[in-house]
Formats: sequence, structure tokens, C-alpha cells
Amino acid sequence: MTNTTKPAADMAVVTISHVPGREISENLGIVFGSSVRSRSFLFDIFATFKNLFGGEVRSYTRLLEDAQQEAISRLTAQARKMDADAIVDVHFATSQVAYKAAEIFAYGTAVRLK
Amino acid sequence: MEELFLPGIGLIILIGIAYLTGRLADRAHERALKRDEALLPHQILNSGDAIPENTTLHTTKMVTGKVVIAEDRFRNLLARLRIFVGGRLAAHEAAVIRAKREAILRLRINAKGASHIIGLRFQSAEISRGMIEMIASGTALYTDHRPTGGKPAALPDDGVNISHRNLLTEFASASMAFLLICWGIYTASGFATEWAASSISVQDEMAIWSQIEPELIEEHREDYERSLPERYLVDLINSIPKEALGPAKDYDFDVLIIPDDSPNAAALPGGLILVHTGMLDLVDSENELLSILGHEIGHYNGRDHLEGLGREVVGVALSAMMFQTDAVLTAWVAGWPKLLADRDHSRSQELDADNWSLKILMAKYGHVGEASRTFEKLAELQGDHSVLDYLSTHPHPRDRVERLDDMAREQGLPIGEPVELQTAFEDFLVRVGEIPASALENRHQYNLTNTGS
Repeated sequence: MTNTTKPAADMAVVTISHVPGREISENLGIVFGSSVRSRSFLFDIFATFKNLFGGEVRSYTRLLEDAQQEAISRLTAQARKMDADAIVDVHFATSQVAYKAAEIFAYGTAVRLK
Repeated sequence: MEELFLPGIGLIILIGIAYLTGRLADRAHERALKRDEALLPHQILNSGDAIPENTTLHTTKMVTGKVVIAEDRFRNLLARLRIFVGGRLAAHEAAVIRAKREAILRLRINAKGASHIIGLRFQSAEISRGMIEMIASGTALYTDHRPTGGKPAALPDDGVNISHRNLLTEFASASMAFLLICWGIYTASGFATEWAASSISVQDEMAIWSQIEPELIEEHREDYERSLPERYLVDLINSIPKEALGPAKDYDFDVLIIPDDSPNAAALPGGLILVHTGMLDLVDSENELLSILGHEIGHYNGRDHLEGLGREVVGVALSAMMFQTDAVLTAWVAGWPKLLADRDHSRSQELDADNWSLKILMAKYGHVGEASRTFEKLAELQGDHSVLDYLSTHPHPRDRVERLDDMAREQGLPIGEPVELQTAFEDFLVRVGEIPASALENRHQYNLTNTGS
């Protein structure tokens, strides 16, 4: 579907405003990646029980993990389409779009490097 | 059956309308976004804080853009189905992206004339469930920089953020998965309730039910006092020789007459039998009446009433867990497990109960005359077989007439003269001293549905 011009390993994704050791040549503007996911009802039941006793809800941590992975991979896919070399100033935001489902949203600035 | 069908049709219509209006709203928003994004002059958007070099900065301004988009009922249902199974919420992906584009669009309109917007941040709010809230904020830079090239949109192609799935296909696959899981839970709960029903003793059942029962009885009885027809019915049940009753002999039976024109009777936990006045109007002989009561007693022998109740509890729990905030949907979905359980088990259970009914009639009267008479009348009322029969909890009355007659013939049970109901009731009234024996010189003054209560 996507004509990938650069392999994923080449894409630097950083939360600071520059890629260390490299210089930015062009600012391509904002890119974002979003993921809306849920676990299944079984994990929801476990989580409800966990809510009684406290402690880490691993199944939901895993949900965030999966969603974040997908958001980042979509973010880089979008940057790759613009022929970018790196994404700087990456931030994350979350929202609850539906009950028991999480949206993880990653955004950053696509840049070309010298 | 009807109580699930009518709301079901209502729900389907509602969701169908929501699907159409929702998709129209989606498409209109998409079009408006494309148009407005193309109208805006080129601006450089940046999530970093650095002020671009080689530009003369005139002034800065904080700008924001906000939007709240409601999901439609169809997408809401789709999300609930999807959440049950797990995975991507395809229906919401497009909407959250549109919300972001709209927030950015409004932010850019607020930053009119600025060449850059830096320090862009996104935040969501939680105003209400089923709504997508998005706030974008940033700092607009007014510089002498005039971008060249004139790329139209500030946002790149958002295709990567959306799983391009047809919502109806998505709905179909999510529903299938949902139904499969429900079927699994339902089957498992069947074994569990069957086990539970058989391991609760009759005494325990009556003890538990006595905590709940008074409310139901309070609704229909003054001072918990049985009416005369009710006393007659309980007396009739108690007159059945104990050896004709199976495990049901341990119950302390009570009969509650409900003013309702539909010819119906039901076995409730704790030995409480409900009889509609419509049923009393239908029967003409005591034999007929006992065949109905005997059938209900047969259900107690099989502990069938507990199984239906167990399924109902599972259904309500499951449904409440899934559709928490949606009372209409919860009630509707919760109704199905019981209905299915009734249908599934009923046909064999009804057969057993009919068998008990014959046994009880034999023990009381020495013959099974009029055992199927009420079903004959019901068959006339109900008319021909229909599609609904398949889902119905009880077999068609005409089939039951045949089956009862077959059973009686196979077992070689004799058919005798029935006892007239009014006569039997009046005899009872004299026996308990409610009317003097002399009153019986004029028969047929009293009957079950208009005397005593």
C-alpha cells in the first residue's frame, strides 16, 4: 500500500528538537500517528477484579504498549511518505474515545537531515 | 417472545437510522475539512519550540483550536462489540483523525496571517462518554517569511492512520465474534446452573426465596391472606397423593392468582405457582385445572424453574458488564439467554412435565380424562403453526394435545368423566365453612374468577 522509500531503521524518532550529531536541512511540518485499541472482555474482567485489590493492571499496560507501538509506526509511515529522514519533538497524548478503549496519539515534526 | 421482538425491531430501526445519519455526517465533515484546508494559506506547523532562523519575528500569539464530535449510535454499538472481542476500533480511527484535523484547522484560522505555528500540543478532554474532544494549542509566529511553493494543506495524507474497513463488514465480523463468545459463555453457564440447581436442596431454595417472595405477594394480596380461589387451588394441590409427586413433595406449595387475561401459568422458585385469571376462565373441569397445576409441579420435579433463573442471572450480569450505560440495550440483550435457555431445554422439560401431569391426574382421579382439553382450547385460540413457534418456549398446543393423548394411549391410561370445576369449588367452600351446605341447592352461584376476592 505504501511505497516505502526508506527502511524503518533509518528513521530517527526523538523527543528533543534535534538529532544529535546531525543537522536539520528542511522542516517538513507536522506528522501524526494515532491508534485506537481495546483488549477483549476477558482482560476487562481481570482488570475489574484487579481494581478490587490494587496493583498493576498488566493487561492494560500491554494495551498502552500495543497502542503506542502502532501510533509510532503510523507516525513514521506518514513521515516516510513525505520522504523525511527523522521526526523530532515527538509528543504523546491520550484520550478515551470509547469506554474501555484507549487512543494513543503521537505527533512530531518531520525533518530532512543534511 | 414479543417483549424481545418489539424492542428489538425498535433498536434495529434506531441503529439503522444512526448508521445512515452518522455516515452522512462523516462524509459532510470530511468534505468540509478538505475544502477549508485547501482555502487556508500555507503555514509551517511545528511541534518543537525553536523559532526558525533567518526570519525577522514581528510578534507572537498563543492560538488554540477545539472541537467536540459526537459518535452516532451505530458506531457506539460497533465499538462496544469490538471492545468485547478486542483489537482496533476501525470506526473510531477516522473520527479521531478528523477531530485533530478540525482542531488544527480552527487553530490555523485563529493564527491567520502567521507564517509559523510552533510548540503545537494536543490534549483531549472528557466531557461526556461517546464524544471525541480535541484541543490543539500552539504559538503563532508573525514573521516576514513568505513561504514559497504553496503546498495546500498543513497536514500530510492521513491514510496511514485509518484501517480502511467497510463499517458494515466490520459490524458483521464483530457481531459474529461477539455471538460466538456469547454462545460459549451461554453453554458454560448452562452446565454451571444445571449443576447449581441440582445441588440446592428444596429446603434451601424455599429459605432463600422466602426472603424475596413477600414483595411479589404483597403486590397482589392484602395482608398476605390467600383468597378463596387461591385456598381452593392450594387445597387441590395438597390433595394429590404424596407418592404421585416426585422430589416436589418437599415443597410447601402456594398459588398466586394474577389478574391477567392471557391463559398462562408459571412455576416460580420456592414452590410459588402463578396462575392467570385468563387460565381459570379457560378451564371447565377440575381435571383440566389439575393437569395444568400438575404440569407446573412437574417443572419443580425437574428443578427447571431454577435453571431458567440461573441463565437470567448470567444474562443480566454479562449484559450489564458490556453495555453498562445503556439501559435499553442492557435489558434487551439480557433477555435473550433466558429465552434461549427456555426454548432449548423447554421442549424436553415440557415433555417431562406433561408426563408428571398425567401421573398426578391418575393418582388423584384414577383416570386421565380431560388431560389435554385445555391445550385443545389453546390451540383453537392460537391458530395455525407460525414461524414464531420455533423460538417459542413451549411447543404448539396442538402438538401437545397429540403428544399427551399418545402418552396416555401408550401407557394404557383410562379416560373417565371429569369433575366440573364450579361444583368442585362450591364443594370446597362448604367444606371449609365459607357457605352453608344449604346454599348448594342452587348450584353454579360461585366460580373461581368472580367470588371470594
